[in-house]
Amino acid sequence: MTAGGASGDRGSAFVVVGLCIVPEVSKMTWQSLVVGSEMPVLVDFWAPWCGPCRMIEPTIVKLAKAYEGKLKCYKLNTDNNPDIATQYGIRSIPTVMIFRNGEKKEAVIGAVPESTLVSTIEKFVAR
Amino acid sequence: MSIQTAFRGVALPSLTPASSSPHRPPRLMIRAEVEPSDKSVEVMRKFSEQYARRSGTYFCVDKGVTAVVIKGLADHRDSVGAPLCPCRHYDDKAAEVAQGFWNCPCVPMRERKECHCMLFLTPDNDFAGTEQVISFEEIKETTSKI
Repeated sequence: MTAGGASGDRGSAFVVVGLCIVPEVSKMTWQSLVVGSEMPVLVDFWAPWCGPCRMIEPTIVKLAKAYEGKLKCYKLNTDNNPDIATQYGIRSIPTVMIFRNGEKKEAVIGAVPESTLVSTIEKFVAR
Repeated sequence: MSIQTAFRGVALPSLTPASSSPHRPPRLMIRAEVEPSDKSVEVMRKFSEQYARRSGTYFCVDKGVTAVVIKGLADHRDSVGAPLCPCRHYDDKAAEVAQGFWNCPCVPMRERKECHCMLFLTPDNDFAGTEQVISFEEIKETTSKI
């Protein structure tokens, strides 16, 4: 099992997955980006001093690319947006939540392997 | 992540809260990315090494994870007076500190060796390394790029 890091040789050394960044969503943009989204949305709830959150981030970056056009991916800093985290019952972080039509559909807790997130996402994205 | 075996934890007393230090009042505002004090980092570093040895657990193979969590514990020690787990969201941190369940070492760790923050990993965990030591410099170094 890997932590979903940016490993593997795929040609150019300049293709560095780690440089891609998952956009942040905040309390201010939550309504428009998550609740109002036409597409299913994945939100990675994280905090700056949470170790496993660092492990899962490269996986989220990878999935955001893999599902481009089918799934929107954002991350939410729970320290800066405690109201949203409380509203959605966040306890352990990282927690990855899937939203569709503005509704919370599923939550995956912890630094899980990529395959766990993929099987969750597959339930909600259009084929 | 590996399934942990239940009921083989080592009960150790929680750390004494650092709320007695009068020169650092709790931060009540939404915090910016503030670095924890060196003193608290050192206290939590030593605690982590000692607790790993006493509980027979190991640091993550990626010591960056260990370093971030130690800094998170230090940050909570500075801001709320106790090393609350940094891998949880709390509606009320002061109430959590008083309640004590998530003060490191938390109840799941003490009872079942379950640390979802991945600071203390049992040897059967896929992410467990082989070390129970981390230097202050290592913590500074691995967290300087984030």
